[in-house]
Amino acid sequence: MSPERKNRKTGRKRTGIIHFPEEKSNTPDQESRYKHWEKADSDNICDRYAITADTEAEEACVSDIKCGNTGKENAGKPKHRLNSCVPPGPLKDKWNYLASHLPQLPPGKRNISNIIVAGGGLAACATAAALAEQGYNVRVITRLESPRRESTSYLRGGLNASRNYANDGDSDERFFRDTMEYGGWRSREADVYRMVQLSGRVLDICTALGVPFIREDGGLLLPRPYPGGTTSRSFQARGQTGRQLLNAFHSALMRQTARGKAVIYGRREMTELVICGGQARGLITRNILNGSFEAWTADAIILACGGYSDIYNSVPTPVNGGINPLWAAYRAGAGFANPCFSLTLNGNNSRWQTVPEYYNSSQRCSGGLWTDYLLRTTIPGLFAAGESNFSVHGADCMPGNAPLQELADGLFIIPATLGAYLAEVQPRPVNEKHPAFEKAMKHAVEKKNRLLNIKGRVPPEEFHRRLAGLMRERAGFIRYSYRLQQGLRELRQLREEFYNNVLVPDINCCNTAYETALKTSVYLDFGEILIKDAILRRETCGAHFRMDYSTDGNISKPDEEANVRVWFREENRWHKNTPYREGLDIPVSEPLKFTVRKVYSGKDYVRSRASAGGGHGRNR
Amino acid sequence: MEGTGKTFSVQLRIWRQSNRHAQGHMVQYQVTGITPGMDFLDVLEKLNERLLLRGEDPVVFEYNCREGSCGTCGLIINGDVHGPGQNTVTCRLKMKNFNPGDIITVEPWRIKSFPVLKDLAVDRTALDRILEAGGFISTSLGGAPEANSLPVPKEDAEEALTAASCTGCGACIAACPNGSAALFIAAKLAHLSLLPQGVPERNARTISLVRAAQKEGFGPCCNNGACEQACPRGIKKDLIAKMHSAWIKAILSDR
Repeated sequence: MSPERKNRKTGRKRTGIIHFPEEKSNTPDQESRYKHWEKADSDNICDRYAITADTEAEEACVSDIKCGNTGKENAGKPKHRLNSCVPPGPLKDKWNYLASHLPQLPPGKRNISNIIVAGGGLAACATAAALAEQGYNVRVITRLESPRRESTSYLRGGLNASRNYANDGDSDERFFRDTMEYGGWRSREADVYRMVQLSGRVLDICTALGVPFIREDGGLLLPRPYPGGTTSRSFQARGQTGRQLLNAFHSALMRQTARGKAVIYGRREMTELVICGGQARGLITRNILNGSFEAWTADAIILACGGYSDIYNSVPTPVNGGINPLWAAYRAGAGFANPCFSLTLNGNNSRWQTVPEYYNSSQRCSGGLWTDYLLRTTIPGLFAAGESNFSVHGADCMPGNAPLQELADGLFIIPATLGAYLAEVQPRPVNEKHPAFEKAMKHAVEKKNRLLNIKGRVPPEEFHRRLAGLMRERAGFIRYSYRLQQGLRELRQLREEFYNNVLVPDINCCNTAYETALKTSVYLDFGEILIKDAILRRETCGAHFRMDYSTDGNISKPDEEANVRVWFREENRWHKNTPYREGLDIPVSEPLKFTVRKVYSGKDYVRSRASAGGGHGRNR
Repeated sequence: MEGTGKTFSVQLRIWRQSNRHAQGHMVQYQVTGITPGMDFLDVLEKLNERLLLRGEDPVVFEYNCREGSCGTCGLIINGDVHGPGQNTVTCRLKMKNFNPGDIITVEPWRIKSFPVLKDLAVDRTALDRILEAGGFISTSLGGAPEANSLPVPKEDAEEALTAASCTGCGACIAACPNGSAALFIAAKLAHLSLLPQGVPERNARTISLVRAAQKEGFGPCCNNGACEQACPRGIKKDLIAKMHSAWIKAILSDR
């Protein structure tokens, strides 16, 4: 037993007994009850990234990150201040408090509010169905022809709920601790607790919508155990839980489309986010069928477009993923949190049968747009739900939590907080003639033309494959500082080559090569912040395993130093004639504070991960 | 890569159609460098890269998960829906099913209600419109009762799950000489009607789904069983019989 197993703050030896904190240590943010994020130029709460680098390579990286790609000096201190807006009170009362105190839009006003949900998977269907049921006019903009083909359908795991049907001592508290443990204590605990609290109601709704979960002989639900879990709390549907959940919420959405409250616009890819007067007020999409760019206006926009795991290009990941909408939001000023957290090698194809097939659900990105407790991004009027946000980082690491997070976000949280936003802000009407729309449209067309004008010799798919190989090799599950550095250099070389030599045909109808090229060009930019983030995260936690920062296989950092690293982008001009926008990626940190202490040691954690993981994903 | 195994070449006869309204035709291409372990869709991708370099339009075909769960892919290969073999999916079809030098005919789903968008991609939103007519349980999301308050007999739950495993790929319809969506509707009806929460709307749902399918231009069931063989999920045609009986009950009931 190492002598270090003491609580850092109290100095007491950790005995495994749960340490209950006092009320006041909850760090309530009383003054700004749910005020939006603030900009404070001088005050940087957490700029911890620039602490002394310990190897030359890392020093180089840090200075490189400070300089950005343009070679210009970083403006210095990050100017974004992040306020997580977690309400005061004990952990278990926070959401109830907030939900009952938030202003709500009266039904008469919901009828005249237009909401866009970008995405088509489980989170998008649930959000759209819930909002349409409340009376909002919802437009769902998705990439495939129908939401039922979206990537949720290949989630195998289960849906977790802390109902304790198995009578094995499950409770919200235990579920919460398990989730925090799986996420390496890198999630915001209030968000995790809220998800856990809502899990029972999510299960109720799924059952009511006709999800045929496995049952006992007596006809009641049969919860199953899952790898690494301490209790049986996973509700499954014979290895096709994702398919069943998606079908259920797709049909709930179809009920709303039949009522006329929701409309699905399929085969459209979101490429730009439009900001008018500081608020997210519209999108530019590219119609896949005829290649035209379309402008959409809305009072608020919800991104539920999934993650960026396609950068690793292993089966099964979404073919085009959600990177285009995420990147559009990031370019428009939304913060991108923890891009380095992405589970890659743990995802297992059922064909390999080396691990229980339901472990497949772990192939998911834990990073995403930074959101506060109310799932608002740093752009007013832009919300992120499901995999697109980062809020419950641990959710994605634990089998069965991914669909839970998507449904909790979509069914309960977004409907409550969106109403509050609209009631407070009361967005004024805009139309597509607004200069911001014209500017965004011009940018989208310009990007397309620049891609088409390269006229190189190499198909875009080839670049995507090479990028994926590079990312798996240099920034996969197990990471070393020097390999990440090398990866960054190779990535830039690849980008250079891409912009000199990619071949994109000029076809309007169903130009899959163009879609791949666009996606790859975004991934080439995004890969850079992923690698930089991985370099800066000098610890082992969650889906990020740094060999040079793991002592004895333990998680290297104590809870007190936990943070969320959030990236902001400042874009300058086009780089020469290429479709690349020069810009500066600026990291900011949001410190995470825990009122609940860890009860397991790091070794237990690693053991649980090892028993659950193993095997290798199949690469395309 | 695939080791030192020999590679071979095949001829692909592919349906090319530049848009929804254009006249389509078959075009033959040779693809070399194929190994038996390759996916069929990989061969199409290989062909596409070559077409791209030659300055021709790549062949448009759809896929998403590449492991048979999403229902996006779907081709008629040598006249077989989803390729040779029963209960398969196009994306899991391997090239070992073909011999070197084979001429492989690749077509999109050939159904009036699924118009061809381009080449091998079809528009299957007709299925969504059928579901829109009543393929759901009308529950308000806030008013769901406690999950265990409604016991469901285990056999019913299992049967409902089998029926609900339908991915909506449209293979049953493509395989049917009548272009009938009977298996698709029957699976949906069986799934929802077997569960107690779906019982109140059963009659109305049966009538509206069947009528919606007729409206979309899908034919009547001809009982030849091709749908059952084509279904990647192995959904049985018994469900169609159950649907017919439910239909008669619904029509004769007071509604």
